[in-house]
Formats: sequence, C-alpha cells, structure tokens
Amino acid sequence: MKEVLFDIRHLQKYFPIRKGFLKKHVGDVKAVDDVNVTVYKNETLGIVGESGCGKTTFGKSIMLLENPTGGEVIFHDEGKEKDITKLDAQEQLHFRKRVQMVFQDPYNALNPLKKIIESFEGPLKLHGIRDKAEREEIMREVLRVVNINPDYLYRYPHEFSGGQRQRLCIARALEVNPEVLVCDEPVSALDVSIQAQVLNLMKQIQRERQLTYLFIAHDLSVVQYMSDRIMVMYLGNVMEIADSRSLYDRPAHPYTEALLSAIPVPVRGAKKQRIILEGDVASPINKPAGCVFHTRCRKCTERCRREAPVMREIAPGHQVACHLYDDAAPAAVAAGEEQAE
Amino acid sequence: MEKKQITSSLWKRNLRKFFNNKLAVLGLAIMLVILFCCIAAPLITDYLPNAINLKELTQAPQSGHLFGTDKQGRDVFSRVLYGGRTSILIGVISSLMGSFIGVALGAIAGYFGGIIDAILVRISEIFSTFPQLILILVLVSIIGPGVFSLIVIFGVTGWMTTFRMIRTEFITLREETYVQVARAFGMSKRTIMFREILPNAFSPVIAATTINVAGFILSEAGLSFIGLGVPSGTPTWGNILNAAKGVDVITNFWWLWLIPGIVLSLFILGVNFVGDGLRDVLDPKQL
Amino acid sequence: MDENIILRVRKLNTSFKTEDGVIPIVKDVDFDVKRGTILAVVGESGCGKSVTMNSVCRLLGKNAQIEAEAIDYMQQEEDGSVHPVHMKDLTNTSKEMRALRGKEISMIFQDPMSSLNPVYKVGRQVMEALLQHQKMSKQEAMAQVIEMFKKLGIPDPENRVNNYPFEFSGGMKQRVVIAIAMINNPQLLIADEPTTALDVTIQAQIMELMVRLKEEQQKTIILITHNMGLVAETADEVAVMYMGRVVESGTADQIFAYPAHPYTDALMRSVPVLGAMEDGKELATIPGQTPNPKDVTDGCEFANRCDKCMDCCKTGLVGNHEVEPGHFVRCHLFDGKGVRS
Repeated sequence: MKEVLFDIRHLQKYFPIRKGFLKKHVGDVKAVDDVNVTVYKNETLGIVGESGCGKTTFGKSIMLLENPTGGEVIFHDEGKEKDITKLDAQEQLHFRKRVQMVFQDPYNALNPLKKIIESFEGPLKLHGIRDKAEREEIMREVLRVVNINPDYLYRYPHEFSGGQRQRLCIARALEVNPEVLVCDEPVSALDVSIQAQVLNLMKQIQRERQLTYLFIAHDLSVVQYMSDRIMVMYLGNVMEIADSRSLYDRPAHPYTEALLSAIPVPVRGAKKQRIILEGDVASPINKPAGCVFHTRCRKCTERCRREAPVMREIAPGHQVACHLYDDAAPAAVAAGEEQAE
Repeated sequence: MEKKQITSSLWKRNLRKFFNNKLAVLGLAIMLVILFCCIAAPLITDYLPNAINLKELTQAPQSGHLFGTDKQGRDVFSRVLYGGRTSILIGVISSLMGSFIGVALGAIAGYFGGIIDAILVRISEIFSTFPQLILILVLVSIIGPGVFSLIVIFGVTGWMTTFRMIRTEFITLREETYVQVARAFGMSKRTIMFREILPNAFSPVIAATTINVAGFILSEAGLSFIGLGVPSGTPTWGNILNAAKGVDVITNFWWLWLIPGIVLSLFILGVNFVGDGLRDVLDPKQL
Repeated sequence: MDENIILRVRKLNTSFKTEDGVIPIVKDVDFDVKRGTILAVVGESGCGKSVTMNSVCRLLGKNAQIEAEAIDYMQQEEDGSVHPVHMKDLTNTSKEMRALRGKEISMIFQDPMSSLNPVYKVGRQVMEALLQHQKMSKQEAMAQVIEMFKKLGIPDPENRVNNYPFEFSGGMKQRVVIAIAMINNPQLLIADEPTTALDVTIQAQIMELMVRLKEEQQKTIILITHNMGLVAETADEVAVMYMGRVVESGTADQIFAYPAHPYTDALMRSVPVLGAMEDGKELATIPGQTPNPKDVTDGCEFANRCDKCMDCCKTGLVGNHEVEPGHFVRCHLFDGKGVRS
C-alpha cells in the first residue's frame, strides 16, 4: 500500500472578474473546478493539459500561492493530517519548508540585482538557520547536488546560462529540505539539448532524496518520461487519471486520445491515425454546459451536452470522467477507499 | 582576489557604462563644479552675499567683483554662490521628499491593488489635474513663504510622477517569478515589497529624482521671481533674478540677469544630463 | 541546372557587427530546396537557422553583413519556363526584392500575436497584402480573401473577415497569418517556428494545413523548427544546424534511419519519445552549454561537447562528406582522419 501524501478533494479556484470603480463582481474565471486526486509519497504525479486548462493554478493552489476558493487539500505530514487551506501563519511557514516549487521561467526566477548567495540566504534565514557558517555549508551542499561549482555563489544571475539558472532554482528549492517539489513547466523555457540534462538531474535528485514531484507540463512526452501517474486536465476539470503506462496504452477519455495523437513523435514512419480536434478550447468564463469537452469531442452524445460526467474507476487506479464509461462504478473520492495497486 | 572581482562586477559595469556616456560625464562635471563652489563659498569669496556697499553700485564685472555688483552694491558672484546653496538645497530636499511620498504610495498601490489602489490613483489624479500654481498660491497663503514652506509645497505637489512610475513597476514586477519564489518560501509582504521588488523598480526613480531636482530649482526661481517664493532677504537663484526685474536692469545692467541665468541654466543642464545617463545605466532590463 | 530546385544557396555567410567586433552567425551554408517538398531546418536557439532564412529574404538590419557565392531563386513563369533570379545581387529594398517577397517567397513567424496589427480588421490586413502586388478592386480582393479563409479552414469566413485580431484564438490567428502569406499565391513558404507558441492540438491542425498546402497545391515549404517530432512527421529533406553551420543534411528518411553526426544523434536521443521510453531508462544528454557565438574559435564547433571528439577536431575546418547518396555530414569521423568507434 502506497503512503498517501496529499488528499485533494473538490479543489476549486475561481478568479472573480470585477468591473468598474466599485469593482462589481460580474463573473468568474473557473481556473480549477472540482479537482479530486490523491498524491502518494515518493511518486511523480504528472499534470498535463493545454494552456488555460488550470494546471498552473492547480500547482499554485497546492503551494498556497493562490488561496483555493473551495475544497480541501489534506497534507499528511509526519503522521499528522492537516488541511492546508486552513493553516495559521506559523503552520504555513512550516508547510513551506515541506513543499517547495520550481517555476517555468529560470531567467526571471532569480532576482537580477542579487548575487546568488543573497538570493539563497533569505529563505534559510527565514526558516531559522541563524548560524552563518551553517547557512554557507547548506548552500554549498545544494549547489553540489545540482552540479554547480559552489564558488559561483558570489556571481550574479546574468552570468549563468538558462540551464544553469534552472539548476540554481532547483538548488534553492532544495535548501529547506522539502519533501515535495511542485514543478511548473521546469524545462519548457530551455533548449532541447539542455532539457535532458535538467530532467535527468531531477530524476536523480528524486531518487537520492525520496522526493515527491508534482510535475506540471504541456508536453506529454516529457510528462510521460518523468511521471509515475498522469492527470489530464481540460478547462479546469480532470479528464483522466492513470498510471503513465496505461494512459499511453489505453487512453480512455476522447480528449486524452486526441492529445496523444497530436504529439509529434520523432520517429520516421511512426505516423499513426491522427485525431484532429476541431475548434478551440472554450472560454473558462462561460464553460459549456454538461461535459466541458463536448464542444470538441467526436464521440459527443446528447447526454454530454446536458450532464457533466463524474469520475469513474474503469480499472484499478485508472479514473476517467466521461459518459462513455457510465457503467463503471463511480470512483471513491477519499483515499482510504481507493484501490491502490 | 578572484572572488572580489566577481562580486564587484555589477558596480564596475554600471560605472563603465556611465563613463562611456560623454554627455552624462560632462553634466556630472558641470554639476560638481557648481556644487563645490556653492558649498565652499566662504573659501572662494570674501564678500558676504547681503553686504551692502553704497560706494560700488551696479559695477560691471571686473577683477574685484567677478560678476559685478547689483543696485545695492552687493557682490553678484558671492550672491550666486550663496544663493546656489539655498536653491540646490530646496531642489534636492523637495525632490527627495516627492520621491519618498511617491515611492511609498506607489508601492502600496501597486502591490496591494484593488480598492486601495483605486483610491490612491484617484488622489494622484486630483493632484495632477489641479493647476500646480493655484495649489501653490493656496498653500503659500496658508503656511506663508519661506524655504521650509517651499520644500513642503514642492514635496506635496511633486510626487505624482514617481507614484505612477513605481505603481506600474510594482504591478509588473509583483508577477515576476522571483517574487513568486519569495512568496513560496513564505516571506512577509514587507520583505517582498522592499527587498525584492523595490530595488528592481528603483532605477527610473533615481533618474526621475535627479531630473526633478532641476525642475524644482527652476520652480523656485520662477516663484521667487514673481515674489511668491523665498523672501527676498535670503539670496537664492530666483531672488537674484527677481532683482533683475525692470527694463532698465535688462538693458543697462546685463550682468545682473545674464550671469546668474547662465549659472542656473548650466546647473539644470548638468543635472538633466546626469539624470538621463543614470536612466540608461540603471535599467535592470539591460542586464 | 536541376529543374526541380526552387532555391539554391551556396556559401552563405552572415555576420553581425556588435560592440565585441564582427561575429559570424551563419558560416558557409549550402542548401538546395526541391520544388514541392518540405525542407526542415533543425537546430536549437542560436544555431543560425532563422538568420539563414532572414539572410535569404534580406530581412536583417543594417548591422548584418551578408556574403554568398549564390542565392538563386528559380522563378517559374505561367508558361512553365523557369528562369533564375540572382537574389544575392539585389539590395534589401530594391523593387525586384520587394516583388519577390510576398509574391514568390513568403514568411510566417513564430508569434501570431505580434504578426497582426491589433487595430485593423483581419480581412483588411490580408487584403492589403494582396493589393500590394496586384491591381484589382477592393470587392474583388475581399472575395479572394474570403476564398482564402475558406481554404485555410477558418469557419464562417464572410463574417470573420470583419473581426479584429483579438477576437481570434491563437490557432485562428496563425491561420490568418498564413492567409496573409499565401494570398499572393507564393511558391515558397518559409515558416519560422510556426507552431511553437501554440498548443499541441492546435499545432496538429496547423501542421496538417501545411502538409495539405504541399500536397494539394505543390507549394514548397521551408520549416524552421527545433522539434524533431514535427520534422519526422512532415519533412522530406532535413538540414541540421549547429552554431551557424549545416552539420548534416539529407532526406528525412536517411537522417532518421542513420543520424551520422554526433550532434544529430545526441539531439534525437535527448528528447523523450512518447510511449517508447522503457522504465528507468535515462535520456541521453549533451554535456555543457551551447557556446556563445563570439567565443567559438578554431575547429569543429561541436568538439567540446562531443563524446566522439578526436584531436583533429580541435583545429582547422571540417569538410562535408557524402556518407550515402544525398546524405552529407560535416564530421571527421567520415573522412578517414579518425577511426569511427
């Protein structure tokens, strides 16, 4: 039985749209809408979807960079269970030691006016390491972990290349010795030949430090390479959750199928039957009624237009929200009831 | 040794960039020479600015009186130097005060947004649309003329540009990834505003503050010229020019207005060149 | 001369004047583009792939110096006869050059958002491109624009021409950009990373459209990209660039079956392939960083990152060798100087 780390239930993040001087509330951007997922210890959960699907907002909500509008995120930390949406200031600070984040844009993730050591020292001071020598030792250690010469601490960010900067960002996140890393598109800003370096490094660090990754990316090939399980999102909703092998071999949701077939594979003659999705993603402000994907789905039925599908478990650990699988039993939301492999 | 070289690279580069800008260096030189002469006035001239000498009225420039004397026989050279002290002081302090108010309010408006932002923006708009001269007239009538009240007036009426600048910078910079990183580590709002964002938003402010110094010196001269600024007892560049009102002075005693005017213009020009140079050098986007 | 060739480039050298002196960006680039095929120019950022094409079209600023032995465009007249235009003898803004751009050769850029003017209706923007080269009434022109929109799969073209760019989604905007490029019926289309800013499902739509342009209208396309997947799926011919040189060229089948240059080989193995990654297998990495063009000195540009680097690679020029008919590699492994390991 795998150990549960996060239990995310009905997570919701709406951004209010306000207009006029009085900031009247005229609508909501439903960036994340009723997401249910369990994250296990020491696994990589990949979160994939196109722009505007809410994957980044989901990551930021877990990181408490956005306050969720609804739902709960139960974090299992050292035997205690806490809903992170209800933490007080002290608990929140502690939580930030356990969970850290790596961002998409390494070029802006380091304050350009600060030397690396200045950017690295702040978090350590904040999290209670008062001794200067001890801080220096930790900083040098994390730089060694990401294969950067510890003497480079005294350099400015502009003296590093993109790949090095992303490695520095990973190092800084590791400083507080977190258990979870939320990685938001960590390699999409990097050159192809540099991406592999960073991905391999992340895998190695995960093995050495027993980390749990939430790996958010738009590139399904990268996500599949990194992840144990994958969650497919579309317009703020979860379409499918499965382990990464079965998601590729037996995609259940029509959207997952289309997404998989749209990815160009660098193998000559591997061209498979491509499912070209018509049209564009609908607006997250006026979401389509029923299933959010029905406007582009080639298997759309009358029912899909009226009624939103619920998550159903079609095989152990393989959940899908689609009316095609209405015969399957509804997936249990709580982790304890879920059948884990 | 190696380490030291690396740490100072940012500063060195900025200095090099500044000194590559010939206009800025020229401006700095003019500014420093005038500033030095004003500060060291007692060492440079033996005349006191207000010492009346009835034997030497309206003397043209000559060896004893470099810039000549005015209608009361006061030495113009000495008056320009001592007057520069007050004028520059007014310019610098008003500008710093305006920038301080602008930075504080702009940071709050830009970082917090929402209602606070809306209110502050409206206030700044009211200040900007209201004609500055009328505002100054009102304030002078309330607190009376004088160096101190002029500084207060300039500070209170001169913060809007900085406010707008800082607010826009904060709105852009608060979405920067390094700010998100700081938040992810749980840093306090104050640390993020002042340690992470402000230094990156500051370079246009430094340039603007410098250029504002010139603006306020000019305003002082203008107000003193029409008699609303510093009382005529204290020499300032504006008061010196004030004495040159009247057609007979302009036609007959050119040194009474031309020379102080040139010194004032040179100083303003120098300050503006330095300001422009700083703006180019400090732009953090060029790193 | 081969009738099938539409663009022939020989010994193209482009350098830029900068504060640090004159920096060569494109070095001795040779290539031929066959009529009615897709040539993919592959490489990472900074490899000179865009500069090469901008040199051909003369779209570079004053600080660029372009030298070439030949840049010949084979213009086909309506009666089928072909005569060459020696583009290297034309100046940037000459009448002949302007007549060529848009009418014979068109370009599509990466970012559809900045390729369109936000204050004009899209129909008008496409129409203006048309009226620049052809004399006709506005009604006739608009009718052609609507026809083009239809061909490119923009739904409801009669009304959509009256929309502003912000009313279009990213994928639709890119179609409008393609419409501007195609409205004068050019024979050669140069697409610089046309789908990099788009989502994968939209990318699939746009690439489908490009392949259709080639197959149904016999257009020639030069596709500039870093995505090996797109190359495998669409290209007929491939040129791989690294640090300003074409290091390998040939048909796509040849390059994918037998990537001869160590860089091509490493590049292909460093991207995760969807569904083909065995568990626990790591991606190949290319060590180090892409060097700064101004730091490149003597020898093979790839020498310091190459795992097959030999002593002879560190100095002198590397020649071009034909390893199989039509398949050229710029590497000492194939000229008998070194022994292939």
